[in-house]
Amino acid sequence: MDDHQILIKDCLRGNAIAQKRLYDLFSPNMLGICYRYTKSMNDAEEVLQRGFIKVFINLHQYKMQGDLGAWIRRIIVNTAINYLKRKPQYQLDLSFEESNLHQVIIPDADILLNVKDLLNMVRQLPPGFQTIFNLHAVEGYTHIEIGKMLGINEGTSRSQYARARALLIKWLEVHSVNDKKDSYGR
Amino acid sequence: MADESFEERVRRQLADMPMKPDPAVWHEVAAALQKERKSRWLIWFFLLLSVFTGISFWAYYQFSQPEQGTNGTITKTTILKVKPAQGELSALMINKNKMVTPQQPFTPGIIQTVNKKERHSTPYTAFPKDRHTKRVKTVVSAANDPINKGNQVILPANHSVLTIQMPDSIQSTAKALSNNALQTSTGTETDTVQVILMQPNREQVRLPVPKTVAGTTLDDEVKKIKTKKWQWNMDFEGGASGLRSSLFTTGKSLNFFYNSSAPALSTGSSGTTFQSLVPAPVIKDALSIGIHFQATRPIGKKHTIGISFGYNLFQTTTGVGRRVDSTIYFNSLGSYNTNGFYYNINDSINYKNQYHFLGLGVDVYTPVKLFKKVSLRWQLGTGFKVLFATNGLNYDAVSGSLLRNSELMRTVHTYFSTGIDMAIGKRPFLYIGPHWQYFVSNLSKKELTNQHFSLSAVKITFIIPQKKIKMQR
Repeated sequence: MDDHQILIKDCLRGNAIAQKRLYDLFSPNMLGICYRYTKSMNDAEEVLQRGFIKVFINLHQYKMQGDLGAWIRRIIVNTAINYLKRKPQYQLDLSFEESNLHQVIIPDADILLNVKDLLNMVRQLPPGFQTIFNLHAVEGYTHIEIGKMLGINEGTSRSQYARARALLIKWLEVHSVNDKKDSYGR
Repeated sequence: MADESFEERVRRQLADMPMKPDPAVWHEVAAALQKERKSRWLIWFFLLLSVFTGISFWAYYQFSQPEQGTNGTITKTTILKVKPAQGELSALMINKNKMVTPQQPFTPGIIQTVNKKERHSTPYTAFPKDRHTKRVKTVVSAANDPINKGNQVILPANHSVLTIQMPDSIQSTAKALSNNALQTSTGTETDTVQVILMQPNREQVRLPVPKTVAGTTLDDEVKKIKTKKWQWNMDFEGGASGLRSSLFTTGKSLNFFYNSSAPALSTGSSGTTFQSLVPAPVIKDALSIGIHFQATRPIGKKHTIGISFGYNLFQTTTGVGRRVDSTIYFNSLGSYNTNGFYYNINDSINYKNQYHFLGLGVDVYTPVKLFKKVSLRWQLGTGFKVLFATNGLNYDAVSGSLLRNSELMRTVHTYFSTGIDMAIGKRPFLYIGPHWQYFVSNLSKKELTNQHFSLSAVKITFIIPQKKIKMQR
């Protein structure tokens, strides 16, 4: 029996110390996920809080098979999506249109990907684009799965992802050009 | 790295990005888990309490019925079936304690077998189609009985059956009445009953109701006692309570007013700010329980009136955000938050608003027959409830906060209720059915805020058995 299993059994017995240990073990990574889906740290912590409550309430459903982190991650992602659906300011507005979306495929190697910048750019995407991009590009969900999760067509998910991706690449391109200039804009 | 696709790079860089959460998050999680545990325990407690009480009432009802005494005397649960010889009509008046007691002169040679049978199994019950006649209630004078003049036997409605076989000699001396019917008179609320023999041809002829010494029939007296008497009941109700903005609102949320001066929380893609996006808290229905004692008595021919008092716990669930430990003055409400904290509206965790009420109500019951078989009763009632404790949150639209201050809530509330009860048992010892209650008065004292409690519940009413009334004849 590995450490996780012992920890889970203690949590199921209602041991508060074990619950805190489980929280400490997974909350940093999960907060990173929540942060990607939301627009502020306050909202990210709200999602984290809600997600961990669900984790502890439903911990008995974990079959002790597979990675516990992946199981918690799934719950957190679902919690984040439900949270976004319910918040007016996070309405998954998929009608976002921008006439000059970047449609040209740029060779990936030319783009300098800085983690912090990339994260901020993803978070600057409109909520619907941000969610679909996170689900597909980062979490690895298929468009069929995304369609089911968000209640949209697979085709819609696919097209919105393409637009989000193009928009992001455009921003990255602008960002990398700006990075190459010096402080005087030369 | 050059072969890595855009998605792969993004995934590698963004998939695991640890961040340190605020310690307050864990405190909120721990508090929510604690509440969850408590509420589960409460649900189990009240469920077990209801089951236990139900079983107790059932057992009390079942075992409180009088039975045959161990010393061979006939006690209150016994009905007598006497088999006379074919064609012979007799009447016996037997003292209950003398009937099967060997010392009595009547007994030797009279009782050959005494068999207990099932209740209501006597084939000699007179007027079987009439429930009331079956139960009660005629006493025939024993003046002509040569053997046991003046003696009587108790035979309540719920009874066992004894078979008594008598030798012909006794039967012949027992001739007293000349009616061709058997009338088993049972006094459910008296100490006396009379066994009258009939021919086994089962012709059922209603005997004229004889007069007692005082000039009134026992029927009249029993009726008089019954109508004067209050019947005590105890009821439990469990269901979902919620707040409604009006009588016909079915939604779970309320029409909290949106303050136009509220700060804008979001900006549209076109850069337009939306004042109306100040989120109103989502208030959901939650478990509600209640326990009441009620005294009922008949009014008129059909209706029954009941006066009840009891306790109700109404609950609602509000989605709240982060708790802020601070005391501030809320201008729009003109009040401080009590307990030194308030909540932001973010619908992150569920907060249970609990409202404890003591109430006094008046109900009117009207009997209804469903398909001519199922006994129902329709309840219509009103009353008032006093809010004596609450942890309910008040909503401040200006700051977008939820705060505790019970002074912002009305204390005395009027309500009306209605429901249908189904009777369980031939002589109902339990009623069960759906009930609905609506508070006419507004929970909040704030203007433009409509918060009326609504309760949809299942009510179980136990009839508390009464002691038998003893009448010495």
